[in-house]
Amino acid sequence: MNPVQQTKSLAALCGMFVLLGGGLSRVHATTVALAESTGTVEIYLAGGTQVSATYVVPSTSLAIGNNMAMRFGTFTGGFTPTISNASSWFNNFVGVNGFLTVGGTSAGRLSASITAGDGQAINAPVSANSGVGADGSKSIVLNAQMYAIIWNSTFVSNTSGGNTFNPTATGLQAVVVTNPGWIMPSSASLDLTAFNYALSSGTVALSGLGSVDLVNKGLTMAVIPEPSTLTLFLLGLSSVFAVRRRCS
Amino acid sequence: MLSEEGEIKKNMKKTNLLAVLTLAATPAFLHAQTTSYSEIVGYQNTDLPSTGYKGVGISLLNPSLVSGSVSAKSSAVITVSGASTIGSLLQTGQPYYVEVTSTNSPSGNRFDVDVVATKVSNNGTITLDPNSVRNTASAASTDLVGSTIVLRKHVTLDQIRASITGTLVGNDDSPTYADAVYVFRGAGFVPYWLGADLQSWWSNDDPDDHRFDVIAPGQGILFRKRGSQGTLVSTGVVRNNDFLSVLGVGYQLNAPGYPKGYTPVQLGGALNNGWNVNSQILVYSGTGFTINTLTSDGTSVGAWDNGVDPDPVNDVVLVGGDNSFMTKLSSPVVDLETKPFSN
Repeated sequence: MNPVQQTKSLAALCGMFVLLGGGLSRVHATTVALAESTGTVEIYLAGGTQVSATYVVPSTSLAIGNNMAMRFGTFTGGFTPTISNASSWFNNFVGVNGFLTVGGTSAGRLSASITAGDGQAINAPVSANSGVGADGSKSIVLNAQMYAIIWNSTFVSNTSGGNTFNPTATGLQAVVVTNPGWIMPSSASLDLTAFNYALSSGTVALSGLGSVDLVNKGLTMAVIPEPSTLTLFLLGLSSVFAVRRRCS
Repeated sequence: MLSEEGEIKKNMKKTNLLAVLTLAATPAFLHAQTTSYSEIVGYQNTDLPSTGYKGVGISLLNPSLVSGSVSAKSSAVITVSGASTIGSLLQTGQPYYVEVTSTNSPSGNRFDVDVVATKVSNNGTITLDPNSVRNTASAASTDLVGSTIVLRKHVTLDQIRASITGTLVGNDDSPTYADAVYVFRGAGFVPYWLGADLQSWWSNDDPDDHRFDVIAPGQGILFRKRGSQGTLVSTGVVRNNDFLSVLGVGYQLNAPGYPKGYTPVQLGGALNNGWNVNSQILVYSGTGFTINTLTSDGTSVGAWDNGVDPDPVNDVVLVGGDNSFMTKLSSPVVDLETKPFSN
């Protein structure tokens, strides 16, 4: 018996890549997780209601509590989120639902995780106002810019049994955040590599409703960029990609 | 040629899986049964290295709580002949299942139990959960009258934690810093990791504590130990009936039904058993998956090719009784493995 068998190499590293001094690295990954860095990020939505890993427990009387929600994924079809088209954010978004942790020392943290496999297919996809997996299989293309939509209310069930997300109509507060390092990596079903993104100092708020601020140890970021600002941001992303291609 | 019983004992010895093998009469007070039998009990030691992943398949079972023949069935409620106060044997919040042990159809099928309903009834009936995705057949429509069944508690993440010797490592933030169990679901591997209190199990799916999540019969896992190496000491009962495995399309992470070594053919991998050409069996070797592919050689079984050896590996033991293995199929297969020993 010859025990030597064909071995499929896993976890092929794509090389270390530093972005904006954030120390982020690109890896070949099956799981892409987004989580609030413990105790470092505070998110204020509409009137200063606060979520922080340091003290928020959803069962307390804090208004935001269990109503904090997040989706992590990407906008499709070249859609650019703005305040005026907020009601269409979900209709042009593919990703997964995140949640607010309730147990252990990380209670109150925002977290979301995408497990992707062959063909960049993702587990438990959500899109538009449908429920999890209601739209069948979904995928996120390689190198897609990833975003998190964060809002301070749970879904509102609509008459068809789905969920409605329309911040403009319902008066919810919401924000779209991203980070130049949040790029969908190449994935494979048998890959066990995980890549953790952080909702931290590198996070950029693209668009939001209400008085939304992201605070990270004193760093406050503007949330509602004018179109020109957004254009600059996207140009910045393009230059980052160009640098990376030259490096690879 | 070894007898089947001899073969399993040989494999047990070869893989050092079952260090203790005894025949033990199960306590009578735990059973409301009409048929008496002894269960084969033992344990498996599975080393969990401090780095990398380890394929784990738990083939030993929790002791039976009830066994007997089904005298009646109404929708998803079965009546076990001679049994009473079954509900009092169940703990709220813990998962249980019924497995068909008789050799007539539907032999080997498994059905999860509606614990709440069974406890409320607390008589000689068991209410099956018709909505459980782990059921291997329809709990509502499968005719179980006349079949013999056994009721057992599922293996849970909490049980796995309690079975590990060595220093546990927990973290509330990420599987990166904690002992973790990986299951394969949908597109890829999904982690559950031990919390900082060394009791809770967290997941990226939701904020819930998953300590009582089920590692179902036939479901394989990968274990990622952190810090220092440990040993998973799995204790339990050897299945005393045919083992049913339901293999879906695409990748699936599986566990053996018995604590013995398996060749690819013994895992059911044969053309005349519903497996197609190019079906694969993949075994985690510590650094990656070794891939074995079923090819056509003109025989009814086919030839298993590991991509290295010039000869087929049909008779090579690929999977130990405490290991997990992946299958990759283009069409689903339901396989009933005959019990590899005799009482």
